[in-house]
Amino acid sequence: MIGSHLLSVLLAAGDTAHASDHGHHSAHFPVALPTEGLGYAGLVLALPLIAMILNGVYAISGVRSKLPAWTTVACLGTAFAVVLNLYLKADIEHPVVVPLFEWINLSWGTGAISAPFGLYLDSLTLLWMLFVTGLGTLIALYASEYMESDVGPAYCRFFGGVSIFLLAMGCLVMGDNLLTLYLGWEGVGFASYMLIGYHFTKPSAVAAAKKAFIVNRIGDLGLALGIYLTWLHFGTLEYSKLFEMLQADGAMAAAQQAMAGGWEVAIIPFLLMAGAFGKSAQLPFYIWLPDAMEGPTPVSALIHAATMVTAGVYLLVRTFPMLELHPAAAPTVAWVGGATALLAATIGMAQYDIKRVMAYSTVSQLGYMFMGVGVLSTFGAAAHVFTHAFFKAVLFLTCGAIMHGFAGQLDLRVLRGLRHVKGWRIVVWTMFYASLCLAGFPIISSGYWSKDVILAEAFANGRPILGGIGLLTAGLTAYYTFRVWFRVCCGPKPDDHDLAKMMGDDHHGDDHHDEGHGEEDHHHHMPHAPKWAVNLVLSVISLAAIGSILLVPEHGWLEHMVAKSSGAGGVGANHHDLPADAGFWADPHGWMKYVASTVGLLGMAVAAWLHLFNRSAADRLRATLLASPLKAVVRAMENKWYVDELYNALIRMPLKIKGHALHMLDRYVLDILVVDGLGRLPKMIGRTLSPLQNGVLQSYAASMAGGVILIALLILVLPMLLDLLGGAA
Amino acid sequence: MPPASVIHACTVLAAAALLLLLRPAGSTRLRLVGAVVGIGAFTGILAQLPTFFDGQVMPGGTFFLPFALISVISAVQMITTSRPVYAALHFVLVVLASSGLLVTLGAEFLGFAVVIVYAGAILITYMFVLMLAQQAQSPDLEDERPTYDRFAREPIGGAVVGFLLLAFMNHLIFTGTGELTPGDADPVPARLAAWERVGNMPGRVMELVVQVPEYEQALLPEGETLRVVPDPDGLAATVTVMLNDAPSEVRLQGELARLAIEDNIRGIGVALIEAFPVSLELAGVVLTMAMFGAVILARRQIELTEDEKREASGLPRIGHHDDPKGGEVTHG
Amino acid sequence: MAEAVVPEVFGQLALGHYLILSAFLFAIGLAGFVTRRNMIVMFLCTELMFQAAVIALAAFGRFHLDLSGQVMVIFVLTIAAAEAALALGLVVLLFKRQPTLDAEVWSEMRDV
Repeated sequence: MIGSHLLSVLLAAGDTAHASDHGHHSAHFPVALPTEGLGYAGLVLALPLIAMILNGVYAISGVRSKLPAWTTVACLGTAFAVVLNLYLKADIEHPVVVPLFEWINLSWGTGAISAPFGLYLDSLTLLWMLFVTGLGTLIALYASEYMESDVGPAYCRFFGGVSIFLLAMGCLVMGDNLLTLYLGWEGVGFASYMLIGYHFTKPSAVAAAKKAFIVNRIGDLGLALGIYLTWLHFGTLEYSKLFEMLQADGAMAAAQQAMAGGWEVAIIPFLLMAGAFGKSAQLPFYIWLPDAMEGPTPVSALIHAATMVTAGVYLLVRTFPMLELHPAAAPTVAWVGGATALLAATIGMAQYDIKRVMAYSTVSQLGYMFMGVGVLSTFGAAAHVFTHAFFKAVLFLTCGAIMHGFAGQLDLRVLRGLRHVKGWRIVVWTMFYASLCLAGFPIISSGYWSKDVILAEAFANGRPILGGIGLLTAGLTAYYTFRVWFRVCCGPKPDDHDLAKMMGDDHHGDDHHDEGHGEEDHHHHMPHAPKWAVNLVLSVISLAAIGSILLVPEHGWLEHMVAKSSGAGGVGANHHDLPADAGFWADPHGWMKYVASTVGLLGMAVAAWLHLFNRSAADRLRATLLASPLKAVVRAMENKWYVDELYNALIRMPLKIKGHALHMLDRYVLDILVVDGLGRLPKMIGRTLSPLQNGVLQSYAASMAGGVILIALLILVLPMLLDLLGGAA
Repeated sequence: MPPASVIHACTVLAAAALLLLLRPAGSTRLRLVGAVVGIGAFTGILAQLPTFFDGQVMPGGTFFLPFALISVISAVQMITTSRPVYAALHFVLVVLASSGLLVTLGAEFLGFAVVIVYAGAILITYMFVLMLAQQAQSPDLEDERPTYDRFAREPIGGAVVGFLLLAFMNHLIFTGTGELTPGDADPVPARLAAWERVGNMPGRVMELVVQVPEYEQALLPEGETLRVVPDPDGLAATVTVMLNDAPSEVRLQGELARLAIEDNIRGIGVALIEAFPVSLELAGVVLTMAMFGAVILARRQIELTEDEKREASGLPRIGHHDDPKGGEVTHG
Repeated sequence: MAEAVVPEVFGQLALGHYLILSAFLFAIGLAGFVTRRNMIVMFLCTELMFQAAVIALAAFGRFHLDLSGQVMVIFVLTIAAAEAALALGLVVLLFKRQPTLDAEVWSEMRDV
């Protein structure tokens, strides 16, 4: 009702509507219609649910085999097959809504809220679900080997968590309304919490899990408020109805919308953004993601690199039409993304823990994606999500394999020469390819193509500073990526003695209790190479990463997929037409290929110089820098720019102080004065008055007389007081 | 209203006087001072009254002051003397004086009843108990009297509590409460009500009527109720009676009217039955219960041992250590 | 003028005269109850307070021309008689247990 009212206001204002100030109109995209006959799409959600329940049953019945892993892999694989089938059957020109069941349908007075549980199957959903279920299956397969030392209840718990995650991610991506999205959003948050805190006996893991959950909650509050305001002003939460309203008049100006709804409407994109920043680890919420690496590596790969953290990007692309409700929304996203990208890259350069380097690179790459959304290149953002999912999964999985093999050793100063060790070939070379992708090596790496789109769009969209930041970050990314690879995989060939020295202390990483491991004696002294499942998964995902190159280029499959979804407003073909006679430098999409390649190669060259050919140069450089006036910067980078400490000082400490103050207030004022006081009052009165009950008749009589006097006073004084009050009135 | 300070000052003086009198070993001179101050304070407060009440007054002041003084002085003597028997005798004096006051209030029946019940019955009982409790002592030897009689317990506390209450009562008396102002009692309705009560007692009316000259032969009207029509001011009434087989109206006025409406004992009797029948029954129950209570309390107390109680209730003895027949019990 | 006032004061009585007297008697009774230690004298003091109530009730009845006051006096007499019977019974009982009339001897009868 409210929504239709707003709509009529907007239509009435349409006569005088002018083009939005940044020159783009929301492109038309097909809005889904309800359909029958695709009900089996619900299997995508049902299968992880079944896996989750089975894992619970296994845990209760004490299964001590790899059965949970195979169950999960089978269910997720089937879910992937269903998604693939849906993709093949679906006509992306005509997206559909598959209603499953009535979920929430409330009405009171003139208000109503309905959230049917349905699936919104358009190209964006399918794109996301393809890589979510695909990677989910592969990483579950990887984890079946990786987690084998935990076979037993913990193993069931792990795969149960993965199943919950896939179920929630399915809700998030496939739901046909914002409330279902929110359900999934919180579900993945819970799964993330559960899996980060997998080693719940380790204090650091528990702290990381709490940190992730709490930081996410802050963003989620924004999302919840955004959803509420959306419902309040549009009267519905269903995408199909929202999109119809938002593109009822293609030229409907964002400013008009904002004016018609007041600030409550204008604030919606910012609130949604807060949710996205929280989930996707952007400034100022990114701090949880590096700590989330406390979870087992498959979890880091699946949830904290490939899929869940892209939920924020998904949200913004999905609600892209709503970003135009305020002209400053998109630039905000762009600048936050750019700032995060640069900040995380600089931190990543100075870390020694390879998993943390990867974590910061994830934050940095997510920053790229947001920059893409912000510069109105949903295609670039989605493409980068897609390619990044594969190569970052590979990077994490290889890190995990190393960590697993070397008993938790992750320090790149210790690890070296993995290239020469028998059995690590697939790990080394898939990692190399994934590093190329992350570094943006020209032509043959998928990351190159998707990153180019975003950077070029930043320039094309008139944001050269942002583009410059992106380029700088690209160079830094290339450097730190290859720093890791060169350090870990290259270098002099280690002999057995060196390898034994490289072994971790077994407490740093995941596999800190290795009961049931076949080669216990050997294991603790020598690294063991990954077995078939890990190698298979790494190979398949690397192949997928290579394959994604074919899908990413402009006017390719991916752009088509995005252009037919709610992200249509941010696809290059839809806006900015260049004159045919424009020069080489007029089209950023033209020159960016060369510039970005150059920057990436430069970064790789620096890495090669410092960490491959001249391995001691890095330390010397560090020493030189520390002696120079730049030492503060270096220290700051190594200490992650002191952001955690800053938050600690600005947010945690005041809260802690306040908490302590309130605790003191409660303990010493409320408890003693009020709570205990109330209890003590009768006691004190009793103690004071108990001498009165002395058994002496006379004092009883005196007390009675005193009572009479009191009553007389009351009778006497009360009317006088009332008279006085009455007289005053 | 007189200044409150005067009244309260008098109250404080009275309290101080009582304190002086309560001193256990006070000299005679101090007691005399206390008595004079106390009487002065009492009369001082009384003297404030007419300046305040210019409304309803009644004659009879001649007897009021002596009786009032006697009762107050006796009361003070009663609580200050160290001899309980003297206290009881002083209380008899209080009762006698207040009986005199009741007569001045027109409550003749109560005046006599109080003397009979209090001075006659209750006080005699007190005296019996006192004599029972007090072993033969020489009344002249102060030291032989028990300490609890010779020393007041907390003279200051007692005086403060008592006279604090007195101050409040004085305050209420002088200000009146919102509901009870001393001057607003209208006698006319009361007189009319009294005439109506008398009208319900034809025999009493005829007793009065036959005292009127020429109406010695007057009779009750046959088949008709006696009609008593009071004057609007209630000071006289017209009664219709049969005289020489003819209805005749007769005036009850003057002394006869006063007798009709102020006959104390009949009025109380009628009011008791008419207005407070349930209370009367309850008073009877209270007296009966008091009698039972007194009988049970005064009965001889027999201390039974544990085993005797068990035996009395049909249980076997268990050979308790206080069992006088314990030796006979064989422990199985 | 002064000579004229004094007889006038006590020649004409107001309700207040009786009430003041009654209040004094009551206060003295209360003070006596609080200060005396002899149980029998304490009971006598309660009787004194009853007496004060009797005078007040009779005076009210007189000044309101209502016999209810005197009826109340009868009830007061009843209660006083009942109280005397019970109180003296108790005193006799207590005296048989411990040959003293000191009220404070029995202060252990309080419930602690």
